Amino acid sequence: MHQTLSDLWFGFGVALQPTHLMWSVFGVLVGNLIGVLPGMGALTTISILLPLTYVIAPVPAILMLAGIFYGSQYGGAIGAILLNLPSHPPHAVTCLDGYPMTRQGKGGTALGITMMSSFFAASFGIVVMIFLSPLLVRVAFKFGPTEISAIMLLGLLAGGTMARGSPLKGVAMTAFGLLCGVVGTDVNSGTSRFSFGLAGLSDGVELGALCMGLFGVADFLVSVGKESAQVGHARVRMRDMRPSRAEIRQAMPAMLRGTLVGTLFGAMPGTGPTITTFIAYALERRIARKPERFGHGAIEGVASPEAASHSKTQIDFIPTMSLGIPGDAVMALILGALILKGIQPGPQLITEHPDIFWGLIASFWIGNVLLVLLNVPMIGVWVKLLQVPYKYLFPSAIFFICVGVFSSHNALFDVGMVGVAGVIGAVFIALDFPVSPVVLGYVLGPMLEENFRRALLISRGDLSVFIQRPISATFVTISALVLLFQIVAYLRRLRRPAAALSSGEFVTEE
Amino acid sequence: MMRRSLLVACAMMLSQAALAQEGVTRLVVSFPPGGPVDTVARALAEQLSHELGGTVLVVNKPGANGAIAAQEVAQSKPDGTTLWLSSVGAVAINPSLYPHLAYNMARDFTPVGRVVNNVEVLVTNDANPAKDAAAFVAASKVAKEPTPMGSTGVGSVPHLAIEQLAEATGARLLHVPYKGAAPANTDLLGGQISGMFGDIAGLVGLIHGGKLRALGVAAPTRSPVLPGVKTLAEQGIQGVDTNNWYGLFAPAKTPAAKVASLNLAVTKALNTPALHDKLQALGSDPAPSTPAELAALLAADTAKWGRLIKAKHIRIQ
Repeated sequence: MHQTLSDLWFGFGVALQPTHLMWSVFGVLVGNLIGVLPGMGALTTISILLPLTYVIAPVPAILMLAGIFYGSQYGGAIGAILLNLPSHPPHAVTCLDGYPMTRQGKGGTALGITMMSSFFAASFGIVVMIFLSPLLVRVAFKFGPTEISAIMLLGLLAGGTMARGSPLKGVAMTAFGLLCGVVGTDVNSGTSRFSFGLAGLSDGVELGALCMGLFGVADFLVSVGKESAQVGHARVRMRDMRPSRAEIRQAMPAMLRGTLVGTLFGAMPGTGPTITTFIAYALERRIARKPERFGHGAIEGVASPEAASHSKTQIDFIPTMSLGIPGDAVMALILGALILKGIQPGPQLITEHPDIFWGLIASFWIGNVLLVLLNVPMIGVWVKLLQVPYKYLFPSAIFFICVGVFSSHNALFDVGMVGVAGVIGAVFIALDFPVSPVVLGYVLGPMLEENFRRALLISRGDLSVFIQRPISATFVTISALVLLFQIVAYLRRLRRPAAALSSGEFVTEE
Repeated sequence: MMRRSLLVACAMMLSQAALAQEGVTRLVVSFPPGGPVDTVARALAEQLSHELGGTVLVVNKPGANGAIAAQEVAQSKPDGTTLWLSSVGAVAINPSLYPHLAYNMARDFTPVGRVVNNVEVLVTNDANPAKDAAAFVAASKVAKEPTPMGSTGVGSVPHLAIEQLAEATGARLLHVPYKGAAPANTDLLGGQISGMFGDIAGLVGLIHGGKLRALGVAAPTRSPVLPGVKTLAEQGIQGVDTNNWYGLFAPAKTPAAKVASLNLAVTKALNTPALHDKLQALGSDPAPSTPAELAALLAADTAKWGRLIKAKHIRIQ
């Protein structure tokens, strides 16, 4: 403990050196701006700025790259809340309640709550990273394919509560998402499935393209030409931007729960941030006293997923930094940059390069403080953006979407994919089908399939492995209970249909 | 220096606009940024810019197991300004693996030169009792179930190395494919699988950090990066010979003189101590060659892997 604190002190010393601080500020600034642009991700930005790191020392280089990474996360929520454009897939779920808030003139409040949740969750994640890294690494190894498939099963069930309106439509949309997720090369056989001979589909549907299309572009296509589409409001007063005390009180528990969800998922390698935010949202909706508020601007639906995404992001750095195993493509690129500087990532990094490890941790926190300082005054500016006439605002957003989606793989095909997803999404919205279960099905389905098949491959086809291993058995049991609960609730509702309808029980929301 | 690199960064942003620009060479990589091939490409691009006296841009064209990058390069102007840096998979393995490949190595490309050798190392986690490859193989023969071994996908070099090991020793191994090295490494560390073959570059950190144990190098000679690790042949296991080399290829009709001058620049770049040391620190072995040597290596490896793929009935629809 004492050692850790002195290491941390050393880290702050490293991170606060003027040159280091400068690169860190530069990183979060660039990341923040890029994050706001729809479609531009941290991966593109970092690969563009990588040559810069050739001429600067390793420590400022990694501080800058990490700054871009988490800076872009702060920016990502802005597009989702104000324009219904999730520039980063984990924020897709934030659209569900963030965008309705904007349309009610409370966009500033939503952004304020987002900043608060992000900062709190990131700080919590950093503390966990400092004190619990070795423990979390040990826990992470307990999660093999068996455990991950059990969790995904529960996630898929929990996700069933996401949809509002007709349960049948929700299930249909989840199934559509599962089908989208199946497209591409099957890892177990190498076979290309449902790619229709198109090379661009052989690696599957691009998640970013799917989210942009289903949310932003679809919404645009539906509302274009309609008078009600004007999200801008005559006056945006500074007073409206600050969340009221009641709103903060409402968001606080959701923020705490979201942070915990993010922390739990952070400990499990291979579960992406998108799954994390969707689960956080589903949990919030599941335990809410009035779940029907969700989808109409419930502040908890913004606070919880945003918190989850930020704690997950921070904790994801644990395997990257303490083992040298990258959690995702962006982490891989950051590690690649370290390697190019002649530093071999791995378990020995902490002892061989304490300045990098502890400097990075300290800079996380400094960067997060900077991001709050940077973003809170900017909220007014972002909200003003909505006053730009719709006929200019959305075409320019579409332009950035095209640039951003193209740049992630240098593929024109992906831009077309956004268009197709947009048209499909518009049809769904027009028919009153919820689109968020599509994204959930897309991210959970392939993961469930991949891990389920891998678990059975390793167990030589023995299904009992799912109840023999304690962690997986726990999740399977919870899943069974959830199902049982639903069936009991359904049967009870059948017996007294009138009462259930009027009391607004959650089962009617399925 | 700083200003220069800022300029390079700006040039990168404008990369698409700068295609036709004088003095810009595009280094196309069939993987997203951050992977091992991309890392080598970026290290090479930096030094090659000096040798060629112009900007060398790394362009990532991931997808379809390299076919998208291959087509991109094959259809580029054959003037030496577009090069493809590919690992062995897309150029020497996929032609045998996929019945309908969209490109043809002999028809569409001309070799420029090899860049690095990447041999595979057999690793297990620190909980596994096996101290060398022979013990690992022996344990697999007496175990009740076949020993699960990870790979980075069906038809990947680590997968083919597993097949070679099983063929050479009669070891009972179960192939468990993953989407890339990171999840396979995690499952090996967690003991979900018992071993794997992998490029030394991706494993050297975990080996030096004591989390994974190197049981043997799948090459005729020991690796300069892991000098203490015996080759499999030294341990009496013959016929496991893997090299996930990376080579540069240009569009087919690129003039021979242009290819020769590019080869010279690449060779010079690879012999620069700075780049040489950097690549070696990555765990890759810098190995410049003439275009003819790369052509011979390509032919030999295509035949070698083609035979194994056919013998083991590895099929991809």
